[in-house]
Amino acid sequence: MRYVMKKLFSAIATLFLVSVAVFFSFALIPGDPALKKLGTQATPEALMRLRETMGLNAPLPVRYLKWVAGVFRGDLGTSYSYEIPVGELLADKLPVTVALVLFSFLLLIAIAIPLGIRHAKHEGGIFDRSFLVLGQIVMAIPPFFMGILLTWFFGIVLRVFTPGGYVSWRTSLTGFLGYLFFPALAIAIPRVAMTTKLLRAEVLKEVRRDYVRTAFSRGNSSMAVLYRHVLKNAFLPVLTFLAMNLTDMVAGSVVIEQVFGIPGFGRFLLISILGRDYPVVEAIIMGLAAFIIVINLLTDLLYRMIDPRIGASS
Amino acid sequence: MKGRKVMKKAVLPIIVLSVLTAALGGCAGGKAADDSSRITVGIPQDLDSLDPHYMTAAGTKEVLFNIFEGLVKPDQTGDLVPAVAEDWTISEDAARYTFTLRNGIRFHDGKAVKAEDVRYSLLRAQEAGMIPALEEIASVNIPDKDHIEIELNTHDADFLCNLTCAVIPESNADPSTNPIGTGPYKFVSRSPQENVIVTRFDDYWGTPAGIRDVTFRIEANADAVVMDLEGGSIDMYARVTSAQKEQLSDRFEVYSGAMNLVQALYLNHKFAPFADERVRKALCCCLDRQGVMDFVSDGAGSAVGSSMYPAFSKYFLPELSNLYSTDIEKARELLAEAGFDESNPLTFSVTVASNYQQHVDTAQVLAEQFAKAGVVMKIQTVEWNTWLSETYTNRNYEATVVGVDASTLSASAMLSRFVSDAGNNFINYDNPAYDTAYATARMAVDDASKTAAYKECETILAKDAANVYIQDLPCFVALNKKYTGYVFYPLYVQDIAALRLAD
Repeated sequence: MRYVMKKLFSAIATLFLVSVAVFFSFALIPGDPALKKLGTQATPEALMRLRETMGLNAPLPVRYLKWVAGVFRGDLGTSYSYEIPVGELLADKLPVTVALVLFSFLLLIAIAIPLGIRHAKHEGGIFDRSFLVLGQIVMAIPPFFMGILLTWFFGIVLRVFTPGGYVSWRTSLTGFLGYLFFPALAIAIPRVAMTTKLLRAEVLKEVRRDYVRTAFSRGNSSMAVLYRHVLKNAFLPVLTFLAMNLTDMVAGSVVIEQVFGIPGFGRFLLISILGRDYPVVEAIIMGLAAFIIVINLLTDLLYRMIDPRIGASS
Repeated sequence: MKGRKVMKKAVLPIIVLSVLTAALGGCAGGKAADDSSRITVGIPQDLDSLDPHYMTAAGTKEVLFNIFEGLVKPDQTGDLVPAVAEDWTISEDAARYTFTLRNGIRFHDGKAVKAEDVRYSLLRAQEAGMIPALEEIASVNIPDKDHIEIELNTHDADFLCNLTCAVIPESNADPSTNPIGTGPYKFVSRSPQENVIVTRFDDYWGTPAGIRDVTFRIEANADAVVMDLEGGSIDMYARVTSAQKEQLSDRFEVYSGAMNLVQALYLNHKFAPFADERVRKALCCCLDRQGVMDFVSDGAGSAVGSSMYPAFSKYFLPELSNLYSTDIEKARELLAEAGFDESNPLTFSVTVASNYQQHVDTAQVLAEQFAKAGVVMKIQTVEWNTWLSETYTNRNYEATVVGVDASTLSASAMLSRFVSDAGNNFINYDNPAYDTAYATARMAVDDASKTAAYKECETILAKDAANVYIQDLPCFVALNKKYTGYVFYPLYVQDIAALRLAD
């Protein structure tokens, strides 16, 4: 329990530090949201009025406290650019990014785990060796470039999907998921290669252990040994790796959304930073930070469940 | 043998998943329906506001042009034509404008346009402060239900061009999320960073729009434009580059026009070397316009020699672009007179907004051209908002390459900023002769003397080498050949109502 409390406390402290860093770093970069909104033609009076309405004239710490108080009330502020509540604005975009990340995570698991096991079983075979080389190449390709390659090949050459033809989940759920397939694949592919390699190595390490021989000698089938004994142990490092990947994939989605023209969190974050739409930027970054912290927290706890020795000493 | 079974079991989910997703992918591809009564127009950025009195970006104005109208509106030739007003008279001293409202004109919500709505709109726009010239309005009167009378504080024969300002219903409680106007298209929905959807307004007073449903789709990734056009997710894009133009297949018609702006190396006159006329002239003598055009847009573009672009045909003076011919020797002489030579070269930095590739490219060519006369120009790229606050507003720069456009169809929109005390005089230009010439132009009531005075202003800017004037950039519009009828305006306007299906 103390372990859980300790982890929880550090998570909250991290979140607080992130909020301070985000809020104050915007004070340092040039660019005035009111000026951005009014452009080059506005009168100085109009500019002053807008700064007042936006609450930009108050000192920074006051603005920070107001914002924090708002967050606790569930009020994330109003977007400067769209003049609608940030919560409402992002609620519309949340399913997009969540679907994209989950989709690619599912693809990752569905492809990497069977593939990793297969590799381990056929160690040294032609399939295994050629895939090792291919995997090495794939790992070196950055996701955005993978995105461009997929768009070109499946979109322009094969015409399997319409590049830029994003369909909103409100319009058609199948169309939406269909469009997300290739972006999700672009995020997943390099990670599939990494996970496959890791799982293969872990399984191979485990099968050489004594307990495997013992298990076989007790008459277990190879399938039973693999799934009941080897995989359970080989999975531990892979699980951490997958959890780390989940957070990393959220970051990857920021880039991929831009390549495929998907209006999710990532594109919104970029546009809002360029547009100095601080309430939106703060909400998105805090949301992402919270997500990453929660995933890390869960991994730590899950890890301890699988192997109770972890954290026992603390 | 058992191991093989395991493998088969493991591979099965992959196959199922792949088939499933491929099928779904097929659905998405099929979505690009070939319905001819609709068009998807790609736009480079999201609208900054749906409220016409608070919009600022040129990219917003060109879209909202389809939804809103003022008492008057611009046409393709640059004239102002009747819109919400059917007719108007201007008092002899140009201080009172009287408009007759169009009979039977309606808003998109079905309500009739009343004189009160016009007064409300004008006063609201005046308060918004986005069109500084509206400050001149002293009062808006309603002599009878069909007429509206605008009294000005001063006489201003150019005032009409500010009355393109949108007329909106007083009854609309929320113009920023529910825009209602009188234009050929009415607003349907908006999804931030995704799209804005409009549909034909069937009770429109004028020629009805040719295409029923229009989706303005935000193209966040300018590099994907060709792919999106070819793939069919957009049918039109108004800002293709000359390189993208070459990549398009013959399914697209590319219309060539001008961006209607004055691209120049704008010089901060408060930066000591640029206070010296000889230094500015030396830079003008280094300029090879064709060299810039060749590099930036494969030779397209129109030379400009002062702060006026060719579409303002009434005011544009083409001969001013020949005032300084490329002459490196002369440039060296002028620089030497001003105290700069090889041991003490003229050195300055140019600040360019990184999102405008044409301006960044132009700066690179200029740096090479200036180097021939021993001038060292360092390029510094900044992001647009930094440019806006540091360079434009705080005037904290030495030189910048940018395109300056006109917000209204009057010469003053281009020339007012160079008056010494103008709030938007970002080059800190201070020339009493110019101030006098501009004041004369503003005061003139009769058109001939007004035009002559504006031309005088342009000539002063050119002869004084106020800036290193380069060109009006070319503009290429790609339109799927399923559609036709694209027209250029002398302002930032995308007149979607003029488009129709090709036969």
